[in-house]
Amino acid sequence: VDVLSLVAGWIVAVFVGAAGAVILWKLLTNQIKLDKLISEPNGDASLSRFQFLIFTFIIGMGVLVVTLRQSPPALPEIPVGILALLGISAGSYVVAKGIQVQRDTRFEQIRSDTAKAVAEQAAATSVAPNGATGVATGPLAAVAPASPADVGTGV
Amino acid sequence: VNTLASVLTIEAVVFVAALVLLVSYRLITGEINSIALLSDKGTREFSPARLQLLVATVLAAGYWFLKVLSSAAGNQLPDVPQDLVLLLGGSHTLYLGSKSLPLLPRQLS
Repeated sequence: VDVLSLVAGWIVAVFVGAAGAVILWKLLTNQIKLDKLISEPNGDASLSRFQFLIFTFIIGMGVLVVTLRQSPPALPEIPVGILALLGISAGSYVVAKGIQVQRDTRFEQIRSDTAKAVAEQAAATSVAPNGATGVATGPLAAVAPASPADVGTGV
Repeated sequence: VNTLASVLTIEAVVFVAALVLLVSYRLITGEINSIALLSDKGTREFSPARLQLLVATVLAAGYWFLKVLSSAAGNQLPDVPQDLVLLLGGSHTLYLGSKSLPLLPRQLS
């Protein structure tokens, strides 16, 4: 059994070492790209992702230090405070995303309403003073009303 | 068995250390995108709320890691002090508050 454990241990050690080496090599040679590690889909860097990165590295190194300090090495228990810290960070990320989506949706709605109002105003001013129906031209022509009856309604 | 433990230890240390160094280096040299990290996503202006959250995060993480290094109880991770959790909670609240406040006047306009 001892020999079997030893062989299994060495297989795991070789596998983990090889996997780690391959990952590091691919990272170094840019076959695994890191440039968008903390970016959002729109290309901007995300503070929440950066925060997760910091916590991951710090807690990972902390666990490593404490594990290696023991003889024989053993994984330590994770204190509740660390889980609370990660929970605050994750919760903040989710709430921030919710606010961002709500804000983007609202901005889009305001932009759309404004464009519609401008188009309607332009269509109204395109009617000649003598009552003749004007023809809207330019970029607003596509949203100009089809008939004089439509002018002035819906604002 | 001791040799095996040493090999695994070295592997873990080298991997984590290399990863931390590589990511830190690329962050510093700009190879990892950090554009608009401290800018408001709506107005595209510098955001003090983001800066304070970043500072609080770095300070809290650094403080905790120093506690790990100087911990007398070698076999346990040190717990995070209550004050530190409150500090980070407050910092996040401020950040989220600043993120949601500009929403109101624009919604009303």
